[in-house]
Amino acid sequence: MRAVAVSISGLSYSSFADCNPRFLLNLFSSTYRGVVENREFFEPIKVWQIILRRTPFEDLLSKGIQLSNIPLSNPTYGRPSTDMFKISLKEELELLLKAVNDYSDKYVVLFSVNAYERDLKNKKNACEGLRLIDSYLEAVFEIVDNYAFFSPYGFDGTKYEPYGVYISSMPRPSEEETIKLDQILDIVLSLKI
Amino acid sequence: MQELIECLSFEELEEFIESSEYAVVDFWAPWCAPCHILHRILQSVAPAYSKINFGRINTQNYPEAAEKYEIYGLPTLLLFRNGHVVDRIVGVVSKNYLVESLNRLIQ
Repeated sequence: MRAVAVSISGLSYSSFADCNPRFLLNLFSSTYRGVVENREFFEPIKVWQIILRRTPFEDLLSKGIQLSNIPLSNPTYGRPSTDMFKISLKEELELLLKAVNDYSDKYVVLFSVNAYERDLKNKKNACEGLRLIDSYLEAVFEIVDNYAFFSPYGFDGTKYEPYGVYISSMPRPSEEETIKLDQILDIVLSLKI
Repeated sequence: MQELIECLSFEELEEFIESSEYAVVDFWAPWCAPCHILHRILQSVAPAYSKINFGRINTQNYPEAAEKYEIYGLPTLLLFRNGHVVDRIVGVVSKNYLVESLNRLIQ
């Protein structure tokens, strides 16, 4: 059973409307979906402390989670680890694909894509970035059995949005509630089942 | 993007509809993913329709609004002319579909 959870910082449903990402919209229409709600935390370190609930990294590994490119530090934490100020979005997505190939048969790969938000802040074209993400997530989807694609918040190039995306192969107990950051770890663990 | 869509409470909703020759109200909830997509589409077309007042109401906070206007699915847009519902759009629709509906509303 191969499983992956991919966080894409800054990805929002607004960008779905603006950019029409083909694969993600198809997936959105055909599987479990939701909304991550986060009104307070937009700083990567704080966001990831909450998502991981300050669990020691060794404990996460022993629970079956391989952390990958987590922006708790720079270089990022986990395998792979990158310089998040220098790596391009395409290079980061290539590493996502490699991490899924290398680790997802043994662990749930929890990978953070950080360059999309950084590029938006640098005024790069949101739709070009999303098209790239869309194609790589489709490639990831082809490899794994279970997946969760989510964002801890949205970002539209100028301001943060309190709602992030959530698309997953696994149902949630409360579909009519938003997902909070501290619930994400349980969702990641559930992907291994 | 300038926010032209007024956030309404249940108490404000009636007044909003009654005082508008043309009004569009977006019934939504935070947990509803398609609602966020439709909201963006609505935001993108609203500036072209100065004759229409746009509002949105969170049905999680105001379930009585959903009950009163018989909202059975989210998102739902209700299009009002002189206080009366003249069209109802359920689910996410394309920008073109929405534009056609808004054009019909103000014809």
